[in-house]
Amino acid sequence: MTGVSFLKIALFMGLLPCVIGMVPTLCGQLSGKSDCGVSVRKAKSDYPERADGKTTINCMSLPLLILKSILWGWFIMFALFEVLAVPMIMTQQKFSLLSSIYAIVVWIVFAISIIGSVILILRSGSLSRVEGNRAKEDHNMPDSVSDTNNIGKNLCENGKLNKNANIIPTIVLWCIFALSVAFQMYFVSNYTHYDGDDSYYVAQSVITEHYDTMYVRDTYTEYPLGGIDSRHAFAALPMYILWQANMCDIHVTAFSHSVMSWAMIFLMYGIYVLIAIELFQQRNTARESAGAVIAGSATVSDIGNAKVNVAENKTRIKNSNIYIPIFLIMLSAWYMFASSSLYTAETFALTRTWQGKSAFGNLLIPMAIYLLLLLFRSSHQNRNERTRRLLIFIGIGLLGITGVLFTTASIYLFSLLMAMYGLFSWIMKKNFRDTFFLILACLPQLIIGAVYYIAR
Amino acid sequence: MINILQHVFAIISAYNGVGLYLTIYLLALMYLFLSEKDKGRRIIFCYIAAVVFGLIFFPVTAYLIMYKVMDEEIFYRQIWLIPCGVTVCYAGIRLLMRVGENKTPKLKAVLKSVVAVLMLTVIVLMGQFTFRAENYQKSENEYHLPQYVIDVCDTIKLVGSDYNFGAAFPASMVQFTRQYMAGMHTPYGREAIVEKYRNDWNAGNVLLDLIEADSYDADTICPEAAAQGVEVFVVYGFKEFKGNPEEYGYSFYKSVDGYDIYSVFWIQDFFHG
Repeated sequence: MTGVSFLKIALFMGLLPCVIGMVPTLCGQLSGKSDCGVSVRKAKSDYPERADGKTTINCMSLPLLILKSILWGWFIMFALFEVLAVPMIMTQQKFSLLSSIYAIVVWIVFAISIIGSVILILRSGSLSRVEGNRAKEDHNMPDSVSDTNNIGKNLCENGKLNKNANIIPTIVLWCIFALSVAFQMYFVSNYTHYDGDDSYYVAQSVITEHYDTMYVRDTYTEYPLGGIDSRHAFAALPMYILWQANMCDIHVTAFSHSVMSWAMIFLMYGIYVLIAIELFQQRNTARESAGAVIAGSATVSDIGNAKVNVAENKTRIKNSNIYIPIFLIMLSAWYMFASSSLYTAETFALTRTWQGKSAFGNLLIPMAIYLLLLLFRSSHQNRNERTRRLLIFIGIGLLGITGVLFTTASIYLFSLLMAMYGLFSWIMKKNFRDTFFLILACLPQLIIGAVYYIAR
Repeated sequence: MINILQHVFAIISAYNGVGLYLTIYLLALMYLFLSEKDKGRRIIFCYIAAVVFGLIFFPVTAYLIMYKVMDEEIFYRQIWLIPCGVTVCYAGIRLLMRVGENKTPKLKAVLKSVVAVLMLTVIVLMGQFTFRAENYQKSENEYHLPQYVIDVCDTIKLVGSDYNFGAAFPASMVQFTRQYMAGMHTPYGREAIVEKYRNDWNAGNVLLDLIEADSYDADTICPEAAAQGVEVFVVYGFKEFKGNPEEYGYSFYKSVDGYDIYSVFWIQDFFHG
C-alpha cells in the first residue's frame, strides 16, 4: 500500500464517516431550556440552562465527539449502501452503476452534513464545555456531563489537577487498553488466519470487480448461475468492501484482510468505550430525585435524603473514571482469550474480522446494546430529550438495515433482540411508548426481510 | 424431542469448546441477577439472556428455529445476542467496586488491584489465546494468501486476451485462487475439498481426485481435463508425471514454487509469467 492509499483510507474510512455522523452526534448533544416551563436543572434533562435561553451543544471531549461521529457515519453509510444495493442487485444492474450512484449519494450526504453541522453550531450560539470545578459544585449537575465530560470535570478543581482523581493510574490504564487494541490490530494485519468462507465472500468481491456483475456467478466455479444468488445477495457487505477498496485503490483481498480488519477492530472497541462510559458513569442522586419530585413520583424528603448522599457521590464520581479503562482492559483480554471454540463471537472478531457475520456479532449487537441502554434511561420531558430519543430510534432503524447488509440471519436475530427488549420494557415501564417506536424503527428491516423471504 | 435436546446440548458444548467460557459467563449472570438493581440493565444483561437460553433449550422453539427459521449450522448464533464479554466484565467491575469497602484508601487500592489482577488471570486462563500458532501464521504478502498461489496465478494470468479459460488446481490452492484473480472458470471449488460437502452433496470431482493422486499419468489426467473444459491445470511438482501430455494437446509450461503448470499450446503465448 502506498502513501496515497493511506491518505485515501483516512479520507473514505475516517473523515467521510466522521463528517457524515457529525449531525446526529451534535443533535444528541443539544442542551437548553425545557419547553415545558420547568427549569432544566430540576427536570430530567441532561444539560445546564443558559441564561439567554439558547440551546448549547455540550462539547464533550473531542476524541469522544469524533468517535461517536465516526460510528454514526459508518452505520449511516452501511445502511445507505444496503438500501441502494439490494434493488440494484435484484434487478441485475452493474456494480459500476451501484458504485457511482452510491458515491454520489455519499458525497451529497457529506455536503449536507457539513452544512447541517455548521447550522447547528451557529444556531446554538456556542459550543460550551462544562468546567470541572463548576460541575463539581453543582448538585444538580446533569448526568451526561456524564458523557466523559465527567472525566474532564473530575480531573480539574479550581483550575488545578484534582489530586484525588486517580489521574496517573487512569492514564496508565487507558494506555494499557490502547496498547492491547493496537496489538490486536497489528496482529490481524501482519498475521494470517486462513478461513474457508473467504473462498466465497472475498471471491465474490473479486468476481464482481472482474465481471462488473453482482451475485450472478458461482463463486466456486465462476460459471453463471442463470439467475441471482438471492440467498446471499441481500447480505451485500462484499460489495460494500469492494466499493471501499476501489475508492482507496487497493486490491479488495488485501483491503479485506488488512484494512477492514483494522477498521472493524477499531469500531468494535469504540463501541465498547461508549458502553463502558454508559455503564460506569455516576449520576447525581440529588438531580434525579429532584426530577422525580417534578414527575410526581417522589417526595421532598427524598431530595433531602439524596443531598446527604451527594458528598458520598462526589467521591464516587471522582473514582468512577478509573473503572472505565479497567473494564475495557478486561474486555480486551476477554476477546483475546475467549477463543475456546470456533463459534464464539470473540473468535469471529479476531479471526474472521472482515466477514459480515463477525461484524454482526461484534459491531451490530454491541451497538444495539448501547442504544438500548441509552433508551431505557431516556425520558421525553423536554424537546432535547425527545430529540435524543428520536436519534436513538433512528439509530436502531439504521442498525436493523445494516444487520441485513452483514448477514441475512440478522432479520431474525436483530428482530428477536428488539422484541425481547420491547416486551420487557413494556412490562417494567408499564408504558407501550418505547415498544411502539421500536416496532416502527424495525419496520425497514422487516420490509427488507419480507422481500428476502419472498425472493429466496 | 430428546433428539432435539441432545442436538442442542451438542451445539452448546461445541460452542463452549475447551475452557470455562460459558461457566464464567453463567457465574457473572447469576451475580447480576442477584445484585443488579437498574431495570434497564437487568433487561439487557439478565432477562434477554434468560429468554435466549429458554429459546435454545426448549425443544419446541429449538426445533422451529433450527429447521424453519435459521439453519442448524448457525443455530448457535443466537448466543451472540447475549453480550457475554460485557456481562462478565461488568459483573467483575461491580464486584471490584465493592472490594475494600470501609477500609483505608491505601488498603482499598491494594485490595482492588489484587482482585483486578486475579480477575484478569481468570479471564486469561478460562479459554485459549486467539493468536496462537495453530490459528495464525506470518503473512507472506498484503493479500494474506499463500505466496505460491499468487505466483502461480501471476504466471497463468492472460495478457492481451479477455478469454475466460478453464483451470484446475490442487486442493491446497482451491480456496485461494479466486481470492486473488478472477477470469478463469474451474470445474470445482471449495465444496469439492470439504468432507461434509463431498459426502452430503456428492461434490467431489474426478479431476481433483486425479490431481490429488500419488502420481500422475497423462493418459488419465489429460483426457479428464479436456472433458471438463480445463485448458490449464496445476499439479504438485514433487509427484511423478508419466506419459506424454502433448498427445492430448497439453504441454508442460513452467514450474512455480513447487507446482507444475500444464496447459494447451495456444494459451501459453498469452501467459503473463
